[in-house]
Amino acid sequence: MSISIVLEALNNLDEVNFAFEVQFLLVASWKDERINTVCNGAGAFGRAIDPTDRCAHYWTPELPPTFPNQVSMDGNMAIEVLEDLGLFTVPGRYRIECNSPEVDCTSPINTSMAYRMMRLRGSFGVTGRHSNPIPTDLQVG
Amino acid sequence: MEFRRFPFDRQALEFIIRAPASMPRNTLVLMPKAKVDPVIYRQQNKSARQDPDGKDVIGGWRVVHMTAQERSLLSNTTTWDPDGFDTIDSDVWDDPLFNLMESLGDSASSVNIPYYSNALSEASFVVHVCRIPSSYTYNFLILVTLMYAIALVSYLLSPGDLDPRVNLSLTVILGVVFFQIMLSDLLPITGYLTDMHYFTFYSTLLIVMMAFSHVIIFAIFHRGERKRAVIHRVKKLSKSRRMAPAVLRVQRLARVYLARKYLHYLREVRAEQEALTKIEVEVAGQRSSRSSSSSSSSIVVKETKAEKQKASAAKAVSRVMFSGRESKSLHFSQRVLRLIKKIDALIESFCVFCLDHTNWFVAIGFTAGYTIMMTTSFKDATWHRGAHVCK
Repeated sequence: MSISIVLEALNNLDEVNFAFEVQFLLVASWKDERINTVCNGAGAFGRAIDPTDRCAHYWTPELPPTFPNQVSMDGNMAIEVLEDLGLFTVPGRYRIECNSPEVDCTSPINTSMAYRMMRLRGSFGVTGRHSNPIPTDLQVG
Repeated sequence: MEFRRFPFDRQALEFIIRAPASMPRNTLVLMPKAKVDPVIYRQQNKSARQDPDGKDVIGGWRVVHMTAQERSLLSNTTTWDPDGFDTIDSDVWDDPLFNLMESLGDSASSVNIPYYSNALSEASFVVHVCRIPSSYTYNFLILVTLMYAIALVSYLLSPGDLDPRVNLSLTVILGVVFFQIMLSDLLPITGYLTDMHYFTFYSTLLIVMMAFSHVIIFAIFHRGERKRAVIHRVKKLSKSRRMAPAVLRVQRLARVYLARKYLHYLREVRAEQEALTKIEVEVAGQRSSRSSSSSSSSIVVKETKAEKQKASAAKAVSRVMFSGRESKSLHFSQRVLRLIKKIDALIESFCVFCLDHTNWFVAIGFTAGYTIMMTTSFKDATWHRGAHVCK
């Protein structure tokens, strides 16, 4: 699975608390041979997908994903979904229409692929924090 | 975060996406890619050109670039070393999971115990940002430099005005300390000093040294003034008509005094030498006439007495002859005293003739010291060759 991130804004950088807040577009794409219909923004903005629609049954990764270093800044949510653009699919040669002999299925795409897009705002703790004590104390938690 | 090069520092802001625990790395591998929205660069470039339409992505920072990489999470899910666990209350082997894994041995991975060997895929995205130093340059570096310049102005005051000079320096010290407090609010507590901390620390140190220098210059001035007053008076008297006969009279009196002193010492020395020869003759006579051991001790006493007298006589002669010059037979403490007197005389002559130069030399020294400190403190500053420029 490919995960692409387009940084849109760096909203805050708290040097004293070693945290920062960014806004970014997250695009997760993957290949799945089982996909044989076109989905165009299925489930976007939290809308429920009709159970009869095949798009409701395709495998999708858990989004937003797990961010191990997410932290809450100023009491805000650590990860906030600003925009869920839903599921998109590009079916390959196994799409439903290909079952009919009249349809030309000479698609350059062999394996179907899908992608989900999400605009997120998240605050994260910066790693590599120096735990040098003041000046040489040792703390036991 | 690393602040050593503050305010010319760069930061790497990392955020991580981890695959779900139910999907190990052999099932799901994340392939991360990252880019910065070109709008951000455009806005930043406009801002760098002082274009009013431009803005920085975040105040005081600029995004340089963004990187992404995939890695396998090898944290506590994959390391199996029961001896590596520190337990106080219970034994590691009381743990049923550990016991199970130990019993399974190498086949544990095939049984697929999630705790044991399921590495997870992890995507790391790093936003590289650099600090725009201009705010700190103007609000800290230049202001502290100006305050330092005010402290340097104190050298223009008269060296005798100790109070205004020291007061000025102390006021500037308070100002720099205020900047240090502001700086500590800006940054987290670190176990090291940033370049800016070094800068304020050395600035304070230099101003404290400046205050000390004022006291030293005042001492030099005070001492030099006394000597100068004497020299001035002598010069004034040398122009007087009555001065020449008075000086001649004083010289004559001094010569007569010295001649009398010399004669007095000569007489003393002669008398001592005569007494010495008498004692020697007596001792020789006693040695020849008496051979008993009882009288030997009194003879030794007399001999030492005679030697002492001889030495004191020689000393007296040397004092008169060399008019107080140091001789080889001087004691160590006397030599030290003489050395101190010589140094004192040197300092005095320095105080008299080099006071004005000292004031300026010290001022120039402090200016040079500050310039060197300023240029060398900030190792990643724009004026260093090869340093990055946050544009």
